[in-house]
Amino acid sequence: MENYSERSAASYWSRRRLLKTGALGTVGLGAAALIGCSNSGTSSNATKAPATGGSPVAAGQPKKGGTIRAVYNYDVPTLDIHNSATAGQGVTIMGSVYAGLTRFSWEVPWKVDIDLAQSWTTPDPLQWVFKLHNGIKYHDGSDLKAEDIVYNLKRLTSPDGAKASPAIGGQFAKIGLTAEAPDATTVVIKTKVPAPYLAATLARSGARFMKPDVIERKAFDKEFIGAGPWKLDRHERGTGFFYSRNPNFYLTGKPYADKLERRLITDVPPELSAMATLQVHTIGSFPALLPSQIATVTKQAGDKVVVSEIANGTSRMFVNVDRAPFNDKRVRLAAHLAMDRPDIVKRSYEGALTPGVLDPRDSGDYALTKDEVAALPGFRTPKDQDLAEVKKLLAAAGFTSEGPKFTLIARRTSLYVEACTVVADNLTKAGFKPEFTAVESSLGVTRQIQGEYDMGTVLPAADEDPILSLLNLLANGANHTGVKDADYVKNVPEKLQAALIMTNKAERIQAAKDVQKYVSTTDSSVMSLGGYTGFVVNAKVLKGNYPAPTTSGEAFYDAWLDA
Amino acid sequence: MARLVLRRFLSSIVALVLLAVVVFSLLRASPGSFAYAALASEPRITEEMVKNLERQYGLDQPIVVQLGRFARELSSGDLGNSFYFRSPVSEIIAARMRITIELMTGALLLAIPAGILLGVISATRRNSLIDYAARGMAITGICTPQFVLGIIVLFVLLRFFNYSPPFSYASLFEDPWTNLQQFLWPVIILALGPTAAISRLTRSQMLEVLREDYVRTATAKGLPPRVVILRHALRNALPPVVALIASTVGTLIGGAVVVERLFSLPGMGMALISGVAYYDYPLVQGIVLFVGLGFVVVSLALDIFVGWLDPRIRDAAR
Repeated sequence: MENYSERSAASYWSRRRLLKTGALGTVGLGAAALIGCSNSGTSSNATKAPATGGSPVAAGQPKKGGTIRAVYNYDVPTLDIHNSATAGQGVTIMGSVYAGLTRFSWEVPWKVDIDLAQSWTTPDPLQWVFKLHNGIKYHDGSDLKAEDIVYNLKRLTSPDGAKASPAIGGQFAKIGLTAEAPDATTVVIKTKVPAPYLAATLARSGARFMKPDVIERKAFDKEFIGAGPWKLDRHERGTGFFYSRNPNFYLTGKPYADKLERRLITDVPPELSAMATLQVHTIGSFPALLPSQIATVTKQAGDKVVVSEIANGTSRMFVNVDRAPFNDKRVRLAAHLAMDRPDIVKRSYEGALTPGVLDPRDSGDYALTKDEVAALPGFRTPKDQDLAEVKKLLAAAGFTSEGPKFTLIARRTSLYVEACTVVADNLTKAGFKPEFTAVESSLGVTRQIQGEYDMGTVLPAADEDPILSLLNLLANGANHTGVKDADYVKNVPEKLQAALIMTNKAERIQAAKDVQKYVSTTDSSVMSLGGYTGFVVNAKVLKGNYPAPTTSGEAFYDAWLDA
Repeated sequence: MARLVLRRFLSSIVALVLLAVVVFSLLRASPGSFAYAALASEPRITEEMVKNLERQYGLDQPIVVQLGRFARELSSGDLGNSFYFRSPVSEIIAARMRITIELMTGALLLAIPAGILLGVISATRRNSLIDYAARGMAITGICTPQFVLGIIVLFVLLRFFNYSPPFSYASLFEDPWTNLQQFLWPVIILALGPTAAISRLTRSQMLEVLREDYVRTATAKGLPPRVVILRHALRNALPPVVALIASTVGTLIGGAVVVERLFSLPGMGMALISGVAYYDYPLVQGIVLFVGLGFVVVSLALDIFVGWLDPRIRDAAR
């Protein structure tokens, strides 16, 4: 069965962090990944980590007290952690309140660590046994029992739960997940098909647990009773979230700070300004900021801030295959070939984009290598061969005198707009006639659902499993993008669904690579641009806060203020 | 005077009803709905998901039924529940109006005396350096969009003074010093446009009045220039300026939306942005109606004031 620790430790470290931490740390972590952190292995490999969280990477002795101040950029419609409407900001905001069976490490992104579970075993590929820490309590002082977790999992896998949370509940329902609690500290999860990524899916914020009583009363937007490190004292919609440390937290002594505040700052200039003047201790990677914007902060704050780089999702274009001109496979392939990735990287992402389908920083060995990507049609340089091919394809599709006209819409987010501007320029040079419009977010969504678009763009975060990422990237990306061509169906969605339940890592990697190559040479409805680098800025006084995957969010378990 | 007030009051009620119907209709006429906005982060959205949400919020009912419900609630003083904030709109307005009112009041308190003073100085020292400076400032104030000015202020403060206004809201009564730091720049930015407009109008009105016979007579009688300007010229130049101030109150809310967002002030403007972005009909309707009501009240008060200033207006109302 695949080892997620290996995947992340080997692939995810950013250049900056690697340089900072140095060779010793890398060797240490690599060794740890190889010998000790294999959580999703057989029973003999079960983790028996102490109940003190991850290994302390932060320098110095943690100090207690103080208020950590962070930022979020928009409010979410619901604070129900099991509803995917909380995706993005919501998981960060509520992920601090609730705890799950597992969590993503904040030292090695995407590495799965234990959380409420003190260990887990997998007696066979269809069964997972989680042993909970003793004496876990909710914020209100009551005991968290294994049956509460079963209750939460049942909610997620119910038809309503699966609908509300397609990425987690829906996925659990698909694999036939059931759970039971033989005693107060044991949770047994069974699946109908192997799910090697299950521990990672359980680590997502959306798979954390609320007190059942709150769910029963449907009070999840008013009462926030979990077993996470922070108690949500106050929530002022449109202003901020105000937390205090959970004195009953199962990791004794954590979190270190007394309070945590998340303030709503909706615009980039004030966010940068607040960080540069250290009014806040950290700004995250969501929404994505550009290198020049980060430079504004570092120029002003100097060595009082530390910048970390993380993989921040895969930028892609998608087309509506239900109407002309992209219902013609030749036009789709022509559009893919016409996009000049190096130009897009340079002009719209200020170099912070790694061309490809999967980002190697997220997906490790599953991603194509730099050389493999550079040889792919649509990614290769010089562009002449691709452009000659575009001409032939458009002529064959009947566009001899004038190129295909189409509408390109981008939701009004600076990165989307900038990327689409360059893509429109590339396509115009190749003979297309795009009409580019930037629209407000919800109007963009409306048009997308109703099929009132020809081409659009999105930059979603990676999923916890590279095969899941590919599935979401290529098969479920957006409405009206379902290519029905038999070859495509066989080589993309069907192949990925089969790979999803494979337990042999080499076979999974091969399947992932085959799909990435296939979509780069054929008429896919999704044209990947590349993996975007996100930036997390921390004040130097904030120690032990590491960039977390977007699906997990910063929970500040280990963070402390050196002031 | 009572007749003038009564007539204005009745026309204000009609205007508010019309405003309610227009806002209601415009919101429903725009493409999209709260359901689409709420589902924006979904990787794949189906019509069924949209319909479920629309049913939940009563958006699947015919427009006439929705309008009837809105009218019924409104007539009983209920502005409905916000989809986005999940609480009564009246509570949201009550919690946030103090911030917006503080911002707008500050801007008006700055803009009115500054604009009138600049206009008077500019008119009485025509073609002097101070006149050119005041006119230049007025043109800049009118031409520069508030969001541009706000961003420039933020970056200049940051770049040259390593300063940024506090972004955590503090109440005027609990922490006046922090409150002052928070509101100073937003108030100045918000006041700049109205100051410029008031200054320009005051100048042109004053130039006109200063040419009138009665002003020349007052000067010939040997009255000190200060008395001539303040008592004879300014008082007669003011009525159009007061009317302009009344209309400025309405436009200030637009500026407040921008400034509140840039300086993270959780006022009605910020709520309005969320309301518009999420197609939160009750919230947008509630805030627009509340602002409309405020505008009507201020206009009414200023009408009375203008009537007091200028007897001709009182007479015309009879």
